[in-house]
Amino acid sequence: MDQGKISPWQLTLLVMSFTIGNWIVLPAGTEAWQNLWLIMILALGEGLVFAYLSLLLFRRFPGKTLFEIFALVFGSVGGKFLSLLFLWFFLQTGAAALMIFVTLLKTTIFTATPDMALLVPWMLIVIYGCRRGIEVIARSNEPLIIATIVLLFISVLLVLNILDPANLLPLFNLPLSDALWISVGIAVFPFGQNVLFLMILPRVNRRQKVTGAVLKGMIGAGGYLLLIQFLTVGVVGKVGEIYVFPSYEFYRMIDIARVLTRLELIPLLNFMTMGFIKIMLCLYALAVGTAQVFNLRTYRPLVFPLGALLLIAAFRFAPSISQHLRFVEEVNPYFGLFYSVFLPLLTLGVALVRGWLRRRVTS
Amino acid sequence: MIIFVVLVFIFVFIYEAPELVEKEYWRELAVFTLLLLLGLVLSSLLVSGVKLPYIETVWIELGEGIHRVIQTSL
Repeated sequence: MDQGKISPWQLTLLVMSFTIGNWIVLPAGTEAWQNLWLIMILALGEGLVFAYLSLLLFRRFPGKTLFEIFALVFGSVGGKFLSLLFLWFFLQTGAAALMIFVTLLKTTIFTATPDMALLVPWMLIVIYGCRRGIEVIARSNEPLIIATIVLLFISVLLVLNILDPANLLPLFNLPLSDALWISVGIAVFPFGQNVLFLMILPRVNRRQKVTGAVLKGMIGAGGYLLLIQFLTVGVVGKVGEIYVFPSYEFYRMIDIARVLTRLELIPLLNFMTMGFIKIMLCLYALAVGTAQVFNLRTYRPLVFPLGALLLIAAFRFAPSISQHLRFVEEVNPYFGLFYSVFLPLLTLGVALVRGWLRRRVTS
Repeated sequence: MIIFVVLVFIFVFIYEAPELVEKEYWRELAVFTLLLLLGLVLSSLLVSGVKLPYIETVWIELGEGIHRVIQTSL
């Protein structure tokens, strides 16, 4: 298996990139629109609690991946069944990011380019990176996330002349139940998807710093997405609610003395870099997980066939972006709660009960 | 197009398999071949125009089905 090691700081940056991922162009919960940036604070809090509970699992089984923990807690058959469920989660998460990548490019810049021509070269780079191991993924992520953050700070300066605070009002005009439901949706996507890192945590060289590193990454990503959403609402206004890719439209409106205009390349670049890391991490978790399910000594030969499956899943992911938005709104909260909260908590609960029973028997 | 897809998969097999055989990683070779065949079959179906179901449509229909069952049972 992969022997590469990453530092807690690299883990923090990976968590940031993974969380920013495709949310940067396609946010969930847009029905809350001008309240969304406030709801995101609540969602981040919920996401941190979910992540902390999952990290308790890693603390109890240090040095073990999620699939190894499943095998220890539920036995061989039960563990493999849960592992297969999670393999599907990794595949679906990667395929969704890939589908959004191609939809964004096809509706904005490469309108006449076939899907294959966009996806295949992209997947080849992802496969190459994934085969090199987690160390290479983490190192290639460092300049990309720094560039993404710098571009955000530049964006703040660029929109100062078109940001209208009136667009941010009215606040708190949403029923509390709706706000809570939207916050749960955001807590599981994008924050809850970080459960994938339970496959990567054993590769961190200083294990005692893992919890802090993951939580810091989530807070950093939450702050980033919150600021992007704040700027988007402030610039685009109420009409932004009807856009599929609101942050893309917000960058289109930037106009500095008719010289700096049409800067929609910025969100595209941000998404291409963050989405790239997200897809690569999904494929890595998929390959390492599959290798562990079948007790293999290396995951590398599986990367290409699994990459091909990811590509096929992206092609047959959703018939249209509107159906994807419906999925995110109606199905994803349940789907995410099952994977990000229910299954890790169930595993932790069973592990605690088994440990307690064992102690009672021995005493 | 199908021929091109088959050629790509054959190329990948030729690229990966010898190393696995040399190291006597038989289990790895079996899983690799199985996944490659699955990928080959699905991609061939896709390029030949077979309408495979959409993942999200399946989830949405499943959710609606469960919702209907709960509603009728209450």
